[in-house]
Amino acid sequence: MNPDLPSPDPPSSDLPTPDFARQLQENLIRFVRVLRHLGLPVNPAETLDALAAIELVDLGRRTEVQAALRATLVKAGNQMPLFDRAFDLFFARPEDRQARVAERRRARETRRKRLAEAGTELIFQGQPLELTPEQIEAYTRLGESQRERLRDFLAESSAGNKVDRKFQPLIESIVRGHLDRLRREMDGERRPETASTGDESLDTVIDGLLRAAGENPADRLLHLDMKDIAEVDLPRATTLIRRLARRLATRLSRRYRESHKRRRPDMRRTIRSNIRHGGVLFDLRFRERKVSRPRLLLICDVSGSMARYTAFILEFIFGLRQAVRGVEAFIFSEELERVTEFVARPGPSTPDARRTDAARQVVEGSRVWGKGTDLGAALDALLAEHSRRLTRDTVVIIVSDTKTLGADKAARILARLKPKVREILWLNTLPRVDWAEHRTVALFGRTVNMHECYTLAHLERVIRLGVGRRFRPG
Amino acid sequence: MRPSEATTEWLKTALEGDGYIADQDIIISIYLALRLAKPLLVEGAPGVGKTEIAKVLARVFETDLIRLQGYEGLDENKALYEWDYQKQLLRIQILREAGLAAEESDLFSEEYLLERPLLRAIRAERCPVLLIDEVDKCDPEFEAFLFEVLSDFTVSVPELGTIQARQIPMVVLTSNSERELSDGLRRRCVYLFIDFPSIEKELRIVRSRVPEASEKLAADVARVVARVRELDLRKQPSIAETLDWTRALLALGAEKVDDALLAETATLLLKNRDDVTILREAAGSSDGFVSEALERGLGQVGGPAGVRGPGPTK
Repeated sequence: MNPDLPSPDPPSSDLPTPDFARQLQENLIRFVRVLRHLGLPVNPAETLDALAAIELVDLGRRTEVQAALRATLVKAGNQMPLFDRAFDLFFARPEDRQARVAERRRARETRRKRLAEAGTELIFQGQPLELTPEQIEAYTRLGESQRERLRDFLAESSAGNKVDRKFQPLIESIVRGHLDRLRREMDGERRPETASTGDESLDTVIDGLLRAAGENPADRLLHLDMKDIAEVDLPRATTLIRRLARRLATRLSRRYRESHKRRRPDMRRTIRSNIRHGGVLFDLRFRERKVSRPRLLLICDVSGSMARYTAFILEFIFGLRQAVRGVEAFIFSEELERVTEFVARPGPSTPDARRTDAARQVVEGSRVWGKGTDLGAALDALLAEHSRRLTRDTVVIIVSDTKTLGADKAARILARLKPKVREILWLNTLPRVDWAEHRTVALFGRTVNMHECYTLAHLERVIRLGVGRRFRPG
Repeated sequence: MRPSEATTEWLKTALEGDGYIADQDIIISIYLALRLAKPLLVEGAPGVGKTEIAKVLARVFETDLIRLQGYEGLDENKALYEWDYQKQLLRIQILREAGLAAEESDLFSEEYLLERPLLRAIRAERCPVLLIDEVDKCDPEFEAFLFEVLSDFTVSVPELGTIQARQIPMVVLTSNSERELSDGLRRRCVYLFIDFPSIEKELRIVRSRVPEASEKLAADVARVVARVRELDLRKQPSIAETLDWTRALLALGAEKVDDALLAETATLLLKNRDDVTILREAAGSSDGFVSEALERGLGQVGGPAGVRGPGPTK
């Protein structure tokens, strides 16, 4: 720990000079930039508070400065660890900082070299393939055996019988497709890159933090693909799902009812209850709009392509059921299956045991788990057999990756379903970057409210974007 | 001592003198809130001493504690002021029977004004401590109204005119994170997150609050409670429950803690049937739950490793 002044370049004098004050300000502003890049919402008013605060504490004591900045810049308990690490890295000793900047430069240099090298390895009949830098980078990140296989493939096809230069575009597209797929698979394990600040020393701090963040379960969780969320992380997921459910589940009605909030007098009730006071309006009555609860109907895709989201889907069903009463739950792959009873059935005494138990029953007892997808057939069955559950009060939530047989038929039935219900919300586990590649996304997107949703951060965003907000009072 | 003149050292001595054991984060946050004249927003699990901060501040500055309890449906009328409608009506009746007409200025005077906590804090003679407890339970619209009042401490009562606070009260807001507070409110506050105490801090709290307990018993209690917080419980025992448990152990004449005693008195630490079962199972197993806990050093933080986010509480 550095006991010195919290400035990267402490001035020689101990007395605060105007120059020192200016430097302190600049450093603080740079630090705030780092925090913003890490996703902490620090605004100018808070920055001013932080400046006022560090003038009030003993700058010689590192922990006091840290506590002061924490109290003014961080406004949520779960951001504390991130802030503390940022503080340690940013207000580090100048030597350490220099070393880190140098290390980062070296890493970039190595990466550049490896890219250049890789470019020369991927050749077809002596000609380098036309690949994007991302594809080449994906190649450098592959294991040696995979790289070798790719090189062998190129060498063999180069030497093939009657193969000439005309084949290059074909070979290129095969290699590209292969690399793209591998890249996506690998990226599933990586955190999204943050934009560079354009300031090298700041980027160093941010990089260091993001690397460390990979080791910290609390902030890793938000960006983790939901298929990878382990059981221990589920409570956090449940909290988010509950919030979503609450937001979806309350809606402002047009009718009024009696209220204890003193906003809107209810003349009829007031007069009636004051007849006993001889008509003097002694005891006022009030009324407000009723918050009514729409019914949620959940349709989850559990086909083969969605199998890795099993844990999330189960958690989603159970989370919604805990938060709101009367949720109807369906799962579908080739056909539709109603699972409401499974998840509602009382079982062992502790909630967790009950949940796992029910989850097992749902999966084991299901005919549809892990099969192909036919959304059209599933929706058809829903309309035919469960039409009484579809009312203007129903919000339908579909969790699926849109990959289905008979997409056009499914879209037609979806359009038929829409006027029967209040809203159709689609949580798409397919990354948004891939949406353009799948015709079904645009096709279904016309009818439903579609949201990218494969990490908890997405789920949080869906909530923040105000899904169902127009139903909320106030 | 005026609140705006307090120093960190003075605060530390004063709070500890009053039995509130505070670590540096707490002291610095309180100090900054007082010096910057901003509200202090305190979050943390239930029972870590959030509300106690306001109480102890009122005691060390020898001033009034004005408390506003947040709940769903709390509105301006109950938080700020209200006209005593019934009294006004009676007045009109009386005047009418005497054959006089009521003047409006008579009816809307101090006499008929019902002061609610916020107005009381604004009009107080001495700088009071205003505690707005469980602000997360209020409705969002009330929160918006609240931060308007908290930013300029001016209230306008149409019939009386604008009332400006004589001095800015010390404001403490507490939240259990039942609902996400708005950024606007957070922005206006100095923030403090209180985690469960370390074993050492909890030991000092027990010694200060239950001085009858022997050093040995207090140390045992602090260590065992820290271990209990590591179990996978629905609600971890709070400091208040630690203190209750210590008093109960004293009442039973215990001088040290063992597995059997822990299992017998588990209901004082945990107030949930499932949690009690989990603890009894842990204490009943042959591993020696208590003896393992007692072997630990003082420096360890209670509860699972790392800072716990202010999760929802049941």
